[in-house]
Amino acid sequence: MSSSTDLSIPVTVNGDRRTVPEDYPLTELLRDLEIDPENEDETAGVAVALNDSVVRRQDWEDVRLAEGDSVEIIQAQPGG
Amino acid sequence: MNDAAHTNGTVAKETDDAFVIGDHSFSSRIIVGTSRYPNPQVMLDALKATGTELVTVAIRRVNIEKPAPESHLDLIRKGGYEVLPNTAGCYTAREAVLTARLAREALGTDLVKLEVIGDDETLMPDVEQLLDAAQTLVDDGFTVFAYANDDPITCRKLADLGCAAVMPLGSPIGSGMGIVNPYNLRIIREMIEDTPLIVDAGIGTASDAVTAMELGYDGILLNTAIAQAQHPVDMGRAMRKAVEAGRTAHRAGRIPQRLYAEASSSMEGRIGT
Repeated sequence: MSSSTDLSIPVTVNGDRRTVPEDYPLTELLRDLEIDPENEDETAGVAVALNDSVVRRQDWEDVRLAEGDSVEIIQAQPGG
Repeated sequence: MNDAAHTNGTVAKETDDAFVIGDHSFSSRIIVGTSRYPNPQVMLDALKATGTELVTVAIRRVNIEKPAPESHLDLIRKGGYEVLPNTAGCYTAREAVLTARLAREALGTDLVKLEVIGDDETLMPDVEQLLDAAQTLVDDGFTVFAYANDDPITCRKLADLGCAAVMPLGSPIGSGMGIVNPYNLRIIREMIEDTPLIVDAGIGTASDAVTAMELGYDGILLNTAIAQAQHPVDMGRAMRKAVEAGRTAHRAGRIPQRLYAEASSSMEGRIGT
């Protein structure tokens, strides 16, 4: 969790509210969650949506978070 | 025999009997879920026993607090299986469409098992939301396997709007009640000739799988019957044999049922006449 500063903004990540610095890169958020965006083994099977739209993997590094953004980070799990 | 193709009394070789859905072709007609096994090794052994080539997975939020030790996907891909992501747990078309799109991005597949449920006790499909989501996903280029009620009209609508496979339930998900309305499934098969049909949900034991295939269904999708059996690997093997037996019997063409007896032995030449 990022420390709260004057420039911090509220966002929602997988349903949980948290604060991040303004213009926080999506890739930094992933690193905070122990997903290395550069590591293809770690990101295989992971996908990200920002405000109900899928963010293609090649676009991850261009995304900066804005106030009120909702991020979903998913992966495959056991299912039937 | 009156058919040149059937001169030896057998139907075409089973190796010619591919299970084709959209652009995808499989030799096995069983699709298996990957949940509720006693442990990952039993899952892998049971999947192998079924002979399946296509297994389904759920799409869920990454657990931020506790990342998984080994990725479920790694395990499945090591086994060489193709992955069918599902939208289990979605209650609205909006949730299901986003889940399908995330799955496509995460797994690099256009396949999706579309499941949009109406409540958590019956897990029955919400037909209005299901049709809405199916249309959106078909338009978006997905190969949609639509989980549906055993309702001929809903199934026909799903086929007509371009789903690659329509999957009416045998009975509620995880119930193991088998095929509770074979008459509806028969009507659905008669109404929908050109779209693959799969019995999804409710299969409890091997005879249910045989029934599904004898009804002319193209395949079955199951999970709990295998995963929660006392011996999942043995049940996986039983399901494989059941699907093969039911499929072969269907293609062989069963005799019509009669209310009264018909003697197998000729009456001619019997003694005492």
